[in-house]
Amino acid sequence: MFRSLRRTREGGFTLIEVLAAFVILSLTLASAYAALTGGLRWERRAGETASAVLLARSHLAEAGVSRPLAAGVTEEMLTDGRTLRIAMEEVEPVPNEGMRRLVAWQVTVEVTAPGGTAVRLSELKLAAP
Amino acid sequence: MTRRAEKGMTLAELLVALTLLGMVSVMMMGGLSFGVRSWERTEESSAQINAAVRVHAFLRARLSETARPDAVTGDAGSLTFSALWLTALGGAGFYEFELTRRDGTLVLAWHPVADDDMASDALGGERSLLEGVTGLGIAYFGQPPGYPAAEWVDRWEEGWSAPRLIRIEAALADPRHDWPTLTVGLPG
Repeated sequence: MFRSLRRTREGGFTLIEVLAAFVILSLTLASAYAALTGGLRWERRAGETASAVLLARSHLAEAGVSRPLAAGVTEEMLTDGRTLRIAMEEVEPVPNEGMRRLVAWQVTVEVTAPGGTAVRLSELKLAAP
Repeated sequence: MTRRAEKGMTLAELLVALTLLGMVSVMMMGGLSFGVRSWERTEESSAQINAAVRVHAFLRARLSETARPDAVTGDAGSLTFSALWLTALGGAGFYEFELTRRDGTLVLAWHPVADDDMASDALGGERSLLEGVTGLGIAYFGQPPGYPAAEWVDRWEEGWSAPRLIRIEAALADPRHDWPTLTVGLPG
């Protein structure tokens, strides 16, 4: 009965067949592993982005209050390895005869994680000239 | 490769097959447990950052829209403020909040600012916002009486005019966890 299933009289697999089976198995495992690490990487990136948004909002709140509005770019390295970049730029004033003039500043805060994930938030701040 | 007339495998073949099977299963188990470990770790840190996002959003909404910025008091370890809480379960209204660290947990307690004490007892409560907090640093930006200009100070007393910014920093026990500094501008 067994004998009828065998391809050769001796039966069993040849070395080539076993190797081919191993190659197919490892290819399957490798693609499953790639999918897993890809998913984990995206999840980590999502977390980094969420955290960077919170940090950037905090720095936007400081602009014009505890951090004076002044044209230019400041860049600093945070202790956790992220880079913080704050750019302030005076927006072209709108002529407004006879009224008290306010100056609009465009404040842009950019937080870049060591992996390269970057978040950029921008806000207009009004200030007396 | 050629076998004798008897069926079956030799002991050597069986041993080779078992060894191969063993090696493959060890590799697969190792890969599996590594995958599960890193999956759990990522999921845990993602849950933690989600918690931080929620706490930031709640405190930012309450503080940035407070009608009584001059009612803010506190020091480096605790913060008391009043704010409108329209999404409160059971009773939307004006609440007094206190944010402190107790037993390594960031705790928010609240009770309604109301004339009758019954409502106050029923609607008050507290909940832990963040676990594993080893240090809390609250700072206030404003101009306390007698100061020549606004600056960051680590306490804010009753009767002072409203601070313009509140900054909440937290040190966490787990280095993989993250509490981005929360700075909120107060109205006014």
